[in-house]
Amino acid sequence: MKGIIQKYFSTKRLILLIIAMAILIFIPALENRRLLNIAIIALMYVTLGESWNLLSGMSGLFSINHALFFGLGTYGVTFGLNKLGFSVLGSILLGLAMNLVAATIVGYIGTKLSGLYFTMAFIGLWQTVYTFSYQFFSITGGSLGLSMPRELLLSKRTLYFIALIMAIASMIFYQFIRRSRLGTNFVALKENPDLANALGSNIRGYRFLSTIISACMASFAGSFYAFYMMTNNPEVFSGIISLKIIMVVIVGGMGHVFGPLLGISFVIMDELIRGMMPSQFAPFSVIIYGFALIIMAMVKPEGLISIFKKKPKDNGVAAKQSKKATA
Amino acid sequence: MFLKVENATTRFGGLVANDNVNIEVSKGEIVGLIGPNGAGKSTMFKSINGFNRLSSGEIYFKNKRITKMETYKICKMGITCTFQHAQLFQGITLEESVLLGAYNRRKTKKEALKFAHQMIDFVGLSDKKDYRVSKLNMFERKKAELAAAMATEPELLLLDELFAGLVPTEVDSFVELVRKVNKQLGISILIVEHVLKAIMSLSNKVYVLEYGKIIAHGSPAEVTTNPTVIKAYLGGDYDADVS
Repeated sequence: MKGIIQKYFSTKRLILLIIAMAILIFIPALENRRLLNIAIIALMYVTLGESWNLLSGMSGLFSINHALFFGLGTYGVTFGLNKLGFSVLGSILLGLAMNLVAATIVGYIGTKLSGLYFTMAFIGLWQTVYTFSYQFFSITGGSLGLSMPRELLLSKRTLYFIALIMAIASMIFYQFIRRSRLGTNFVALKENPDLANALGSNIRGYRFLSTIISACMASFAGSFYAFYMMTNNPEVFSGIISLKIIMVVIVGGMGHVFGPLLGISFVIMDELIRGMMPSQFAPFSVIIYGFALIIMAMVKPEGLISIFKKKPKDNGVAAKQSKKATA
Repeated sequence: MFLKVENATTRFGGLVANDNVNIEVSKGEIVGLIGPNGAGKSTMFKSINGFNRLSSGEIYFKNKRITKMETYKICKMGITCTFQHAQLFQGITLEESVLLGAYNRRKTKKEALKFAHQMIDFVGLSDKKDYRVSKLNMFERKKAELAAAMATEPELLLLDELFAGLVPTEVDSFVELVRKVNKQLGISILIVEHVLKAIMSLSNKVYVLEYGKIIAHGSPAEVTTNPTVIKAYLGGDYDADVS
């Protein structure tokens, strides 16, 4: 255990971690509802970002409609509680089960098709579910949504800590997967599927597995969102959410565990700008972050993470080796 | 019967890439497969590997039929290939690339990593194991690819133009490496190559393909003096008087 700690946390990292923790615990103490709301949403996007990062950043299956998994998690909870009278746990599991079904379909498509065709098939499924959520009023509550029982209303502070724990757990989970046998296979799948196959990696199986794991992660975020909103709404399936999930990871850095964490600066900025502008101009905040994205893409195409990375080849290796030599 | 390709025919639409090809490899042998460009060598390799489906014919490995098996299952059986253009996994380190191969027969990360290190040592790249593959030069990439393929613990290695793009001195050291793989680890090798000097010194047996057909086979010495082979390589007008 001590070895593991020494391996992953240098003193510098540990200090950074403690500062980050202090800030994170400090936010709810401010008693600022607006700030707290932004923090909750941002932390939720960390979880969603890691989920997308696992499927697209690690395994290379470009999911353009990740809100499908997110929305199913939300609908599972509201539907389970409102219509079926499930317990909280039961309805979260219902969301998970719905996601498993969706992920099985998407994953099956993923084993047959790859690249753009996978993305197109994914869009088809998403559009079906989106339309279904709007049209079948008796089941999904249509655009009005299904409300959750009042007694399940949680305080913002509780929600904040749940979101925080989820975000941290998802990051640890992502890193755990990345370092395991699965991670090596997933990355190989992204980099060169044919070679991975020739080296004995069951690429169809891993594509499938990656979709399922990613969907489950997004499902938890979706279930959380149901408790945050206390209702459902077809907008959880909307393209805007999918886009934001993708942006969070791309801005932060694809295929890296800290990518989504850095990327939520984009979500926070978006929210803050909206708040600062006079209300009739609020929609124009899109323009500002649109510009920010274009500049990002030109200056830091690998995402914000590239600011923190050392030059990969020489510095990193040399430093590592000298450390080993002294040890 | 180690590897046996029986009457293998592959058609792409109207084009016949392989026509009734018969190849046999015994255990411990190095077998060469040569032929002019477009003769169907790579197609044959892909068929053995399961990337292509044969139009007709059968392939047996260790007396089991592997004709319609999936590539990763063939790898589990004990056949691994390297690719014509050494790409490997550009974005990850050499160590992890080889690690993927090592996972083929090893369950835990610890064992797999240990074996991967052994293989990296074997090809002589242990000082570069933390480098990204994209930072390696062509010679090192080819070695890395060989290490990854060997990490799967194959009984038969298919090497597709391993020496392409290397300068002559590198070819020489690579020939030694391949021989070491064959002798020390006892891995049989089927090799496609354009560098004839290398293949002639390595192989126990050579097959010559032209227009998808095997036109000659035998020991390197026999094949190089075969008039049909010389004609295939140098054209019909050449005076094939090899007395």
